[in-house]
Amino acid sequence: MAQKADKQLGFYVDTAKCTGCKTCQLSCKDENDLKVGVNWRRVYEYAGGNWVQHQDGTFDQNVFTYYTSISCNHCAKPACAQACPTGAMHKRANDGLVVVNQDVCIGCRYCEMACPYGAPQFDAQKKVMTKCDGCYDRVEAGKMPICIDSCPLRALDFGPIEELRARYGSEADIAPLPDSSLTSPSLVLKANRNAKPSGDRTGQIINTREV
Amino acid sequence: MHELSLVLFTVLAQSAVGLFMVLACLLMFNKDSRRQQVLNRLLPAVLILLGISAVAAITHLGQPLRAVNVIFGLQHLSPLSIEIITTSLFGGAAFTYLLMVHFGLLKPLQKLVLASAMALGLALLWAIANVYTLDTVPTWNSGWTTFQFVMTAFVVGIPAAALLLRMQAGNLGGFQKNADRALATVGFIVLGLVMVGYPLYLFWLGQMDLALNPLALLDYHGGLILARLALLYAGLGIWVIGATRGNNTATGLAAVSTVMVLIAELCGRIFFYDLQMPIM
Repeated sequence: MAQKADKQLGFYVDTAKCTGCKTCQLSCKDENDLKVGVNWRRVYEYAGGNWVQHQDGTFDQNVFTYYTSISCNHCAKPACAQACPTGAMHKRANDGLVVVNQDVCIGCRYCEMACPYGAPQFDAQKKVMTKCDGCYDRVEAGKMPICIDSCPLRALDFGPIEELRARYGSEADIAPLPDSSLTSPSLVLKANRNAKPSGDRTGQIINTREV
Repeated sequence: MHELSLVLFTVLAQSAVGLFMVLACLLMFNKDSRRQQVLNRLLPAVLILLGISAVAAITHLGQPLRAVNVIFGLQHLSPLSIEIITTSLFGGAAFTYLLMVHFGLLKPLQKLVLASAMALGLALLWAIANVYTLDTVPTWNSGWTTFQFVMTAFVVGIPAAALLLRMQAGNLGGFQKNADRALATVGFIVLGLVMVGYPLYLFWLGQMDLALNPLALLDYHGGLILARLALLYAGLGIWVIGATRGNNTATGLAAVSTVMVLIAELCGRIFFYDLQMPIM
């Protein structure tokens, strides 16, 4: 995993456009034939707010919610691959995608412990780890990952991370995502007008049973 | 309570190291050859503990038949690979020593192998802690993880060793009494360390800046923490107090103490694994 990728592919997520419809999550499930409980893409609903008292004694509310659609961020410093005791979890040299070799994986689930995004997930039937592979077969055929193509809001994009950063900026620290310095995710976010910084405690993930 | 196989593995492996360190220290300082034989006869208990812990670890794997693949992870210094290899080396060294004394092979080298096994035992305590000090898991990423793991070796290893020695009291004579008193002194210090350390650990957990309160994750945690502390302090306490006051032979007391402390450590480890909560 140590070698640097020739090219680094990554995701762009527009949290201003995303309505939390979860079509990306569903199309991913369909394309990759995922079991119940295994979600390579997850849509986190982050919400908070309270009553605010004005000077004249009246009350107003600042309740907010927004959605971040997250799969695997194919990090530049992947905690999962560093943790993996077998090298099954590896970073592909040609495109920087982090993929698990299911013929080598021993199913110890240590990658699951290490990843702060919940990307590696255990397949209880195959007894090995699974995760978002960036739809590399589709990408090699010149297509976009299925989540990107299926998004009805056009809130997702995918491509070489330098190009994404040139086009959309380099924001990656939006709650509820952890500080990007942990794993250097190949991820660009566009902030919702209610977006809070990573580490924010004014809101919480409210669809915990979905993600 | 979702990682019971790992709870069993870590607690038993650390206990095995603790027990081994005590017995190996006694072997190192002992000059009498008959006592040497008695002490050597106690060592298989370490391998039995380590064996049970290894079986528990294997059941954690989705694909146990592929376990040898962990060797590949050494290439990028995977903490888990280092831990598993260190466990094997520690077990291997202890086993080699036992074979050497059993067949009377290479007598001058026996102490050297024993010393290597001791070094590997210490390395194993570090290696297990190293697996869990992940910067992406803030509730684990601290010296408290190392503290707990090292303390397990002490709090289980000391009464367990005292128990084994008391069972051999007839063969060891005065040596056993002196060893028991020495162990009780160390046990007394360890009791002080855990009595201060664990409340401090809970304070530290409580003041962390996290999305969820780590002390209120699951309903049974309150009871679990209390049971753990009560069993630990009482278990270690009854043996330490008895032994420092001159009761150095009661096997039953040492056995009760060992079992109580072992259960305490299992409870503590269940709580520890439950703290692995998503950072987001």
